[in-house]
Amino acid sequence: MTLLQTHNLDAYYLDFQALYGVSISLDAGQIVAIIGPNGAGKTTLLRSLAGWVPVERECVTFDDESIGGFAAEKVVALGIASVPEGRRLFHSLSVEENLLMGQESNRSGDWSTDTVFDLFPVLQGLRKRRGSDLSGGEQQMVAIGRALMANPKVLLFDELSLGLAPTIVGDICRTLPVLRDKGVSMIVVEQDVRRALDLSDYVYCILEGKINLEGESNELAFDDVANAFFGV
Amino acid sequence: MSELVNTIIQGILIGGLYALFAAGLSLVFGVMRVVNLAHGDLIVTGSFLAFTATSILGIHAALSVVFVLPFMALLGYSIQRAILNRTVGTNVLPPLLVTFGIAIILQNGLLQIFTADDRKLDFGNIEIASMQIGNISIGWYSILVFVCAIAIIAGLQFISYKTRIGRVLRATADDPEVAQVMGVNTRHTFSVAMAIAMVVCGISAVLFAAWTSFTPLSGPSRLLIAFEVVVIGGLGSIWGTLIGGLTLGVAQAFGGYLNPAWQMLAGHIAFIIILVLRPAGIFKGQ
Ligand SMILES: Nc1ncnc2c1ncn2[C@@H]1O[C@H](COP(=O)(O)OP(=O)(O)OP(=O)(O)O)[C@@H](O)[C@H]1O
Ligand SMILES: [Mg+2]
Repeated sequence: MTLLQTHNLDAYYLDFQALYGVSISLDAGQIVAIIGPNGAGKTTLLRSLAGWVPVERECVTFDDESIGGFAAEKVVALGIASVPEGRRLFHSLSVEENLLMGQESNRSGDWSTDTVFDLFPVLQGLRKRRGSDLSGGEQQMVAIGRALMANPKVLLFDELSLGLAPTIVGDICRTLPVLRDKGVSMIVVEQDVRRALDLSDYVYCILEGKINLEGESNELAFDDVANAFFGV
Repeated sequence: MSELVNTIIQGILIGGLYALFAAGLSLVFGVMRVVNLAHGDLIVTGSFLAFTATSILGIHAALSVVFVLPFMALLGYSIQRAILNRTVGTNVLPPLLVTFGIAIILQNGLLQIFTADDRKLDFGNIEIASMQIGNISIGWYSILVFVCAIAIIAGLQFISYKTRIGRVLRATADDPEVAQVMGVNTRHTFSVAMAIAMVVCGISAVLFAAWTSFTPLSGPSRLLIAFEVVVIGGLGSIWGTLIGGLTLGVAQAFGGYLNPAWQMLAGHIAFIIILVLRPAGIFKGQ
């Protein structure tokens, strides 16, 4: 069942067009990866879905409802939560307070600070620390936990591994199937092609604002994807 | 000697009130990054409202807060929601121009209604009663003002760190974009911040209206005090604001002790010295 879709999505920053006719689709229970080089438009795509960049109403549908251009706070209230690029924790709030901010969308469900601490036990001991006093990996866990506190149906995850130690990346990758089993579908932006293919069911490769390759992750040849990535 | 001690104590006590002037300005800047040039005139508006309520209804001046506070909260919320929200997140100039415009409208509106006469709120006997300790006498009214100031600053601290709205305000101050992505309606949050700031202004407006007389043109001098306190105390720390208020109050009292004409001047000199020595304020924001 299709959960979230874009149809010929264009996105602009003032006069500058960042996306050209992008169509992607996320099924319930699926993990979709978005790959592409720097400046390709991956973040812009996630922001268009999250109501962070203004787009046409019909260009985005969620549960068969057109939601393009909805204000960000409305989109998350529908169940589309974000782990933003660069984590962007609230730096003067404690870890616990950062997590609680995830509840501002007032969606009910099973996620709470306790269930986030079950998922990432290291955060338990850091509860009172400020967001700015954490390592990159810890910040990423808080950013994920904060998004989960919204009890989302869809998680938009920008830059899963960027700047993180390999062991942490492994830990975080292992949580994705766990989340999927709890009913969270995901769109994940990941720069590492091999990892993107490993963790996802379906991949879109984006270059200069256009999709230039897509397919089932286990059917695409690594070399084809790598070529698409570099635009050759 | 005891006269000096007396003036310094007096300076500390009025300093609490100065801290309240500044707390609202600092809150609004902290959350919205808006320097509210109408801050002083909004305080004076509160004073006139208290004056009107007491003279029309014949109630005790202290009771006027029952009218002043809800009115100020509503006024703050509406100004933010209807006007200032349109300038948030632009560059620094639009909010300055808009709040400057609001200041002029308030000043001239008050002049039309109340003329340029001096007004003062009358709190009754408490204004002249004092407590005697040896050679030192402290007015009960000053003590009341100081206690109110401390209580309100403690209350603001409590709201900031122990309540949901406080958490949302701090998060929005950190990163309004991400706050919105988490589900916060930032337009509403900004308006609530302004309403809280205006309630604090309303309390200080009532207290100061009995401390000294005021006219429709008193706003800018209140704004100047608030500015100096914020700079002395450093942005971002509520207790720093209190220290800033006390410093300014004591400096003024000391100047006035040396020569009554130097009171304001001494405050400005203290402000400039601290600005030069500690540009980020005595308390660097936590
Ligand atoms: N706020 C902005 N204002 C103007 N242009 C922007 C803005 N954000 C991004 N862009 C431009 O839009 C294009 C797409 O950027 P986007 O951030 O979506 O790329 P990305 O694929 O996420 O890149 P990266 O891998 O570096 O994160 C780039 O050319 C970028 O310069
Ligand atoms: Mg990006």
